[in-house]
Amino acid sequence: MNLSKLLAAALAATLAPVGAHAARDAQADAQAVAGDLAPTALVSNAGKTLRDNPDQQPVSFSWAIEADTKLTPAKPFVSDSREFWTNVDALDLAKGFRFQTTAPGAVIRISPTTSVGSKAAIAPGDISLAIDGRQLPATALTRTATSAQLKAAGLDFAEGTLAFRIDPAEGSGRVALTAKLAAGDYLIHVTEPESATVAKLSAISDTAFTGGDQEARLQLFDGANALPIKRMNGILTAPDGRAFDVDFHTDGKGQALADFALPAKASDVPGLWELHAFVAAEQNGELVMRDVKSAFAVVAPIGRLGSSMQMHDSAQALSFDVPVKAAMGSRFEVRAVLYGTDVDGKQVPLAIGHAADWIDAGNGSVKLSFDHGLLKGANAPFELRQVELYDQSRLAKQEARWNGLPLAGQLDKPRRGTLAD
Amino acid sequence: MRRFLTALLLLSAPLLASAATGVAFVHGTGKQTDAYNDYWQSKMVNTVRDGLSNRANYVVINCDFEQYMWDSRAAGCLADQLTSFINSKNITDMVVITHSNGGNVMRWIMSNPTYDSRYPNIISKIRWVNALAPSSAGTPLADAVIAGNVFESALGWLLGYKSDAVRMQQVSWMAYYNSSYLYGTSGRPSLPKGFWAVVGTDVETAIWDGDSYCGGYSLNVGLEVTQAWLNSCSDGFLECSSQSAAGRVWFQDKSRMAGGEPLSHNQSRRACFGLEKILRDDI
Repeated sequence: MNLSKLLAAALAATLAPVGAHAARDAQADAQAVAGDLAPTALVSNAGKTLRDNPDQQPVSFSWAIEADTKLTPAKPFVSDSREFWTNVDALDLAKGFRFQTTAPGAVIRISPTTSVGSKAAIAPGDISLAIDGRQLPATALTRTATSAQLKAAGLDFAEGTLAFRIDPAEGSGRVALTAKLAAGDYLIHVTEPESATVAKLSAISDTAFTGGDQEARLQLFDGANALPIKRMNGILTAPDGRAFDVDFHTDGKGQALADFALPAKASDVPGLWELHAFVAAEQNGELVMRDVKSAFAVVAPIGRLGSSMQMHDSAQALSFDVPVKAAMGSRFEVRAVLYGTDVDGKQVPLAIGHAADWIDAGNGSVKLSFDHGLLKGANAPFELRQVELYDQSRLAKQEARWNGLPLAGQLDKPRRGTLAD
Repeated sequence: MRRFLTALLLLSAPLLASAATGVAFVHGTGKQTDAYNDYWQSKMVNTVRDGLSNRANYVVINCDFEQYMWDSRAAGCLADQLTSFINSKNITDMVVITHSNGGNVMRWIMSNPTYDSRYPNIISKIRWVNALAPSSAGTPLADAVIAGNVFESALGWLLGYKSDAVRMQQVSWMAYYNSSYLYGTSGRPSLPKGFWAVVGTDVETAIWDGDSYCGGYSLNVGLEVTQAWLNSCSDGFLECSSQSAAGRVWFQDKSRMAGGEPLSHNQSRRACFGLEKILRDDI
């Protein structure tokens, strides 16, 4: 659990407007878990929708969850990297481009930049390799593939690309890659699948709000040991092409942290934002490099869940009115997992429900329904957990509450028995 | 076993006595206009059709899966063609066969039933999805294709790459979509219908080995080097962990293919080593 995020949530709760939302925030935040998401202020200028024609019809759908499903809160995804990229020009390649490898079997891709294209293609026979000053035989280039062969395999690399693996029998060390006939500029991509030198990068939240902030952690390991970081750099890129520098600071414990503000304007182009990091450390007196990136969503907060939900029990279905406050009109979706009480008195997940409808600016609601057939003999009390709100017009998660929201009038009166009671 | 019991349950249902069973072939990344010939090829499609009581009840999807999975040209197009198929053939029981990223597009529909009012009817007709080598957790190769040197280059390449589908299949992107929009992965709710993965575990390309030619030798050659980018269990394009990340594993290639052959990523969409007959017998 991230303490700073919980503290931020607690602080936000103290700053939130008084009234129903403040009461709800206090109650909901007390139950918050890592991964929960809740906007503290809404905006009414979220920019254009990212869908051609959002469906205007209300739609609801629910289904049983398989009995052996174990639901767990999402943890921040940690990207691993055993690779780096660099740009070199023909002169560098003709003289011999040098880099450090840490394990046998490095895979190398050489791609001409688009401005030069296939005219700068390098044939396998034009490559010479040396490791620690030892010239390698031509057979050291294994599994060679051209851009045409890679394209046939489904990988659309730049025209003129050459990829190969250094024969693992040749070992690792200081590599000199020479191509005397090189012409133009090239992107060199080095991957070391067997390397124990691994960069790790994670963004703390998989979804962040425009105008808010994001935190990230960068580490470089040799096996289980954190390496002292010698150089590092960070860039945040938006789907619409904007780029922002990100400063990482080492904490003296083998990791680098960044805490950065996000712009107020959402991207008008669909897709995720990417945090790119470069990190280097010395190993055996040589600089080892890694590039790593992680993706997350940056969304404009235009809606939030209301204070509490109302449950209804009819002859056919159990339903829940979930209030939604919208700062601007959009198609909103609520999804949640229905829990019931099994014969042992334990709360178990029964079904998941989705419902979506257009809601204009102001207060609205979405009704989630669960057919009695989905209850599988479970008894009250029932609860909705893992309640999430989405802006479907912009593919933007707005709120996520792992432990759900209070059920109006139900919290203090759990009942047992069948639904017909 | 679970799959067998599910089938038994379905077979015992009175509804199925009058069910019109159909099969849909959903291709992977790429914009297809003749997926029957260009993607699946006739032997694959026609052998699978032999499992239908009415061989006319099939559809080969042709959509633009260079787009993000939710795009109207991807999932929207797929919903169009599946809805037309269901309506025109009165399909009540549909087996969907996907390959690669087609599994993600199908999973988008099954995980986001309210995104499009046509989705619930499609989901209700699905018996199960047979996902051949699905890219459920993305692939490092997508990262490799997209990535340039962000610290030394102008960033134009970030916008310029033409395939949003490839962009979406980068590993950290799929991690996000799996945790927020898609179901069936570990810790997440199950999908409304079964999603059964066929996992390719290796690539064999030897010029003297006839098995290497199934699906096209030239298409397999590039997978030899791409396999080196991945961990030790892969079909040359996807690691086994990605193929197994969503739904349930139906089988790994070597356990069911003739001669214990592996299925490269190219071969898992073709009539190779008896795969087509296993799919036929599953309908």
